Order: sequence, then C-alpha cells, then structure tokens
Amino acid sequence: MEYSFSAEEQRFRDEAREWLETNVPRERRPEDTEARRAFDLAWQQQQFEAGWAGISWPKAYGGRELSLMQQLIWHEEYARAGGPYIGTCFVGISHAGPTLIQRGSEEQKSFHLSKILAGEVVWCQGFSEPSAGSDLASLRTTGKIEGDELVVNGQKIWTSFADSADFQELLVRTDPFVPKHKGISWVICDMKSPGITIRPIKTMSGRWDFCEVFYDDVRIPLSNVVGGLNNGWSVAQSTLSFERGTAFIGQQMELAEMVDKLGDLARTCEFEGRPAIEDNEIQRRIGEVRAETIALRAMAYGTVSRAMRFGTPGPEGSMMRLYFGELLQKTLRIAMDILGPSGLAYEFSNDRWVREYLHAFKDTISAGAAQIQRNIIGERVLGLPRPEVGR
Amino acid sequence: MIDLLPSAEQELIIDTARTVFATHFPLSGLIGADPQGCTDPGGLRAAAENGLIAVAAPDYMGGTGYSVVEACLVLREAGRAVAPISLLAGAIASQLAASANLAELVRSLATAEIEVAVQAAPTVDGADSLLTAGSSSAKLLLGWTPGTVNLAEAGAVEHVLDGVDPGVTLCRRIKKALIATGGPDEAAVAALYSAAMLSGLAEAARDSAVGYAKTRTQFGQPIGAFQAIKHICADMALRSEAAHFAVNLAALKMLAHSSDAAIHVSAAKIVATNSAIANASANVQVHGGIGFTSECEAHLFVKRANLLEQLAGSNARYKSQLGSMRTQA
Repeated sequence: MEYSFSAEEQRFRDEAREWLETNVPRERRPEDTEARRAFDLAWQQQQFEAGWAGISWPKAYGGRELSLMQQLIWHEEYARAGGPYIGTCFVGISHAGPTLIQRGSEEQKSFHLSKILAGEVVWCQGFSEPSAGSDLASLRTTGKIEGDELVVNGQKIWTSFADSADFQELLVRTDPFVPKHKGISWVICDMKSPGITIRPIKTMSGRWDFCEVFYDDVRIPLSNVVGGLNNGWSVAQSTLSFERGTAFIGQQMELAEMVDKLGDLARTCEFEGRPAIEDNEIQRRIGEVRAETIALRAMAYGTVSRAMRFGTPGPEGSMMRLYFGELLQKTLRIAMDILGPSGLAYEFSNDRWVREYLHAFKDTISAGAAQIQRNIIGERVLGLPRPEVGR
Repeated sequence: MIDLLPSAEQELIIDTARTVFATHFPLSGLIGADPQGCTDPGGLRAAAENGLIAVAAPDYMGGTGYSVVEACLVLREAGRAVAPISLLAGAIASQLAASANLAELVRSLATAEIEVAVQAAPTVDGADSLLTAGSSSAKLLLGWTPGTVNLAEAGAVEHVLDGVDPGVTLCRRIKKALIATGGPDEAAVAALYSAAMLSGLAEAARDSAVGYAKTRTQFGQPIGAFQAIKHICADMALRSEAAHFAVNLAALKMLAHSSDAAIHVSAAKIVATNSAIANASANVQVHGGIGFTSECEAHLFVKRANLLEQLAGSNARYKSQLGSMRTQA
C-alpha cells in the first residue's frame, strides 16, 4: 500500500501543471451548439499540437500512451487548472477512437484516428433507442445488405451532440433471425448521409445536449462495418475495457470543488434568519457529503490500483460511478434546501445551482442506470445468481 | 505511486489476523444464552503472541514495529470478527504510550498483560463513575474526543450493567490517575482505528447477507436472484467499498503526516460508521425472520456498530467539523 510520488512522477506533474495553467481556455465553454463545437475542437487541436492529445492512446496511433499513474496525474492537474469539459470530443476520444484502435481495420484506423486526435471531427453515439435503453441488445434499427452497402432504417435517441457530429458509432441489427446479441453490427455512419434527420431534445435543465436521430434508407458502405458483420455487441463491449478509472478522478475533483462552493453558498444564504452554515443540520449534511466525496476519491484510487495490479478493470468500477451519481444528487439537494425560494426561478442569482441540480438527474440514468449498475454489482462483484425467468 | 491494495507482506498480516480472530473469537461464541463476551483470556493472549495488539508501536518498546497502515489492516479483521473492544483499546493505548515514551506500558499492553476498557460516555450529573465498555478485568481506561485522548487507571467495577452488545461488558467504574494524554494527532489515531474496525464490521455484515442470499431459497430460487434483495446487497457492497478505501487512504495520509490527514481520518470515521450501521441493518432485513432473532449472527453486527459509534464519538461531531471547514486541502 502506497501513496507517494516519485521524482519522475513529480516532474511529470510539474510539466502537466505548467502547460495546463498556461493554456487552459479562460472563457466559459459556450452553450450554443455551433459555438461549443468550435470551442471543443479548438481546445482538442491545441492539446494535439502540444502533444497532449490521446493521453491513453497507443503511440502507434498518435497518442501519448501515458502510464496509468501519469494519466491519473494529468487528470488531477487538468481538474485543478479548471480545464473545460471535453464535451463534443468525448465520444471520439473516449469511445469511438478506442473502439477503432481495438477492432478497426487498418484502413478505418488510418482514416479516422488522426482526425479525432487532431480535433478535426466530432463523433456521436447511436446506441440507445426509444425501445432499447437498459435493454440495448433489443435494438431495432435495421441494416439490410444491398450489394456493397447497408441500408439503415430506424431511430436512435439520447444521441449526445448529434447535431454537431461528423461521424457516428452506430449499432444496427443486421441479422434479425439470430439471438438478439448475435445479430448486431457496429458501423461508422457519416452524419452528412442523405436520409438522416436530427431532432434536438431539451433536457429538464434547459440544455440542448442530446437528440433523436431518424434513419430513412440511409446508405452506409459495408467497409464501414467495424469488427466484422454481426460482431457489433462484442465490439461495443471492447470499448469498456479501455477505461481504467483515471479519467474519473477529474469528475471527483469537480465534485469536491462543488462541496467547497456549497459551503460558501451556505455562508451567503440565510436560513431561518441566520447564515445557513450555522444551522446544525445543514452543517452536518455538508460535512457528510464532504466525507463521502473524500471516500469517493479513495474509491477512485482503489479502482486505479486494481487496474494497475490486474490489468483489466473489474466490475468494481460500477461501484465508483454509482456512488458518484448518488452523491452528486445528494449534494445538490442540500443546495436546493439552502436556496429555498430563490431556487424557484431562473432570474435569481443562484440559477447555476438550480440548473446543476436539475441536470444531475441524468447521473443515475445515463451510461448505465443505477438499477442496472446494482444488478451488475450484485451479479458480477458479489456473485449473486441471475433470476430464472418464468417462475 | 498510488496503490491502495495490500502488499504481499500485508496480505500475510491480514491472513494471520483473520485466522487468529476467527479461531479465538468465533461469532458462535456470542450467540445463545451464555455469550463468552470478551472474557476469554486465551483469545487475547493469542492475539498478543501474534503481535496483533500493539501493531504500530515500535519494536524496541515491545510493539510489533509496523505502521498505522498495518494496524488498520489488523483492526479491520477484528471488526470483521466482532472481536473484543480490548483489541481496539489496546491498539490506541499502546500508540499513546509509545508517543509518551512509556516503554514498559507499551510492553504490558502488547502482551495483553494489561487490558484497556473504553469510556463510553462522558461523566453525567457530576457523578464520579463513568460508563465504560470492555472487559471487567481491564486495569486502564481510555477516552477520547475529536481533539483529545487520555489514558487513566481504572478503578474497581462498581456496577455491571445489562449491556446491549453481548460481546462487551458495560459497567460503571471510577477513573483514577491519568497516565498519558494526547492531542489532535493522537485522537486522530483513535478515530482512524475505530473506522478500521467499523469497516471490517460493514464487510462482515455484507458477507453475511450475500452468503444467506445465495443459499436461502424461496419461490424456487435463491433469494439473491431477486432484484430487491440483490440491490440491498449491492448497496452493502458500495458502502463497504467506500469505507474500505477511505480507511486505507486515511492511514496512508497519516503515515505520511500529510496536511490533510486529519480531514481524511474524519471522513473515514464518518463513512465507516454509516457503512457499518446501514449494512448491519440491511443484513437483518436480508435474513428476514431469523435475522430478527438472537440465534442468528445478524444482531451482533447491529449492536457492535451502535456501540462503536458511541465509543468513537458520534458522527454528529465529526460531520459538524467537516461541514464548517472552509476549503478542502
């Protein structure tokens, strides 16, 4: 058991800190669709030009291939410097890119990877459908083979940044006659293809982050299938093995900062005639989430420790994410209690807290709903049996 | 390098502690009409022989010569076994004695020649006698707050109460001469060691529930197959994971004398206490009807978790402390 940094690790931290402090954009990330795409790509490009893009990508594909400890340090320094949310570059850097690295053909890799790294393109994810969320394998968007093309019909939903994207990692059903997991293909979809309609969906927090996407006889070359026809389910799983828990550190640090700001909020807002921080219950609730935020950091380190020792991340990673989602919501609920009536309208000065509170409802839903995470923990971490159907 | 998992040598320490405690303090000893409680001298002697009491006290003083990290690993196993409070008290007292350079005392504590009980509540009504938890043959009394620790001679037992926790003798006795005192750093050791014990307790409750959920069948299958039960168990795993790593990180921070060590210890104490109490309760629920009886191990975790929270200082104080601080280090 160890918690110390070698001279080499400290040197790396200094290097990362210096670059980030100098280069992290000072302006707030724009909310407007076009402006935020431009912002995200410009920042990605800037990191690329300085050799900081693809920190977890192999060097063979233009990445920096940092060790896990270095990645952890980078994410700590990034959060410390107030680095912007990766936004529209997320899918390319953290999802589609790693998938192509692991399962793409040489042609697909040489065409797409460098563009992702250099901040030239935005990717989105076409996985979930209205009838296929937690039960993703039941997806119904079809891909029918016609000559050397797939003809795609159907619909995707919750596609983040679809209206900013150049490409999409798309899961389609290419064989409807085999068990559901076995008839899915992972294809690269050019978002400029004719037949694609995009409808943005407004979230309860008033943001425009995701969309419905409709496919009406969209033609995709068969050469865009990744990992082989009908292997899509296994291709999608391979992406999960890429994440080692290091990037999560940044999220935890933002939460820790939020708890600090919550303390500040409690000092400036009145509750029952005095500063909210002087109310015992509020003070203790803040103390508790602070304790849990620290525990979350420890869990993140525990997850990275496992990854470093055993190679592949285990199902224990689910625990960290679930803990985070619920802790974030618990923290923001305290904020709403402190705000009281001033949390009722957006005109009041603390509207950012209100929007954060509303936005955090997604954190126990997206990327694996809390209930599914609990199933995973119960079955894969604790070894509890699956239910037998039909009893 | 960050590594919150035990080294090979630390795994051996854990295995030793686990085996000794399971052998000498089996849960079955606490179930039933005549619990042995903490009066089995053989058990404490075995712990002493294996260096499991004064783990972090220097070896030239008679301690085992490890660090707070290994002490936490041992105390986690003590928590898992619902082992006597004397082990927790002995660990804290030997460390306090070592800081005060009382080598003879360290030796006596390490060999279990002297047992320590814990002050369970502050003095009430100006009465001279205190509520204490631990063996009635304890010669010393340990008490602590978030900022202070003190070790004193224990007077004779005035009255043995009908304690709720069958593994702990609860009595009234007078506190006599002070032997050693400590400030915030020593108090942090007490909080951290308590947290370690609580984290083991939380894990034991989780494992008890999971074990039951795998074997108890209803409606034609193990009850762990049903989401309601599965999710209760998943939450126990979640809480255990949080407590486990919070304790490990806090121990490492304390070992390194980090400026944020105290905050990490308070956090570990809060999270471990919550985990132990919630897991113990959830374990009763998973066991259903039999979990409600005194014939099942489940009630032991409930009662020990409740006791440990009181001994270590209720969470309220630690939460207020963390809640009113300005910025996280």
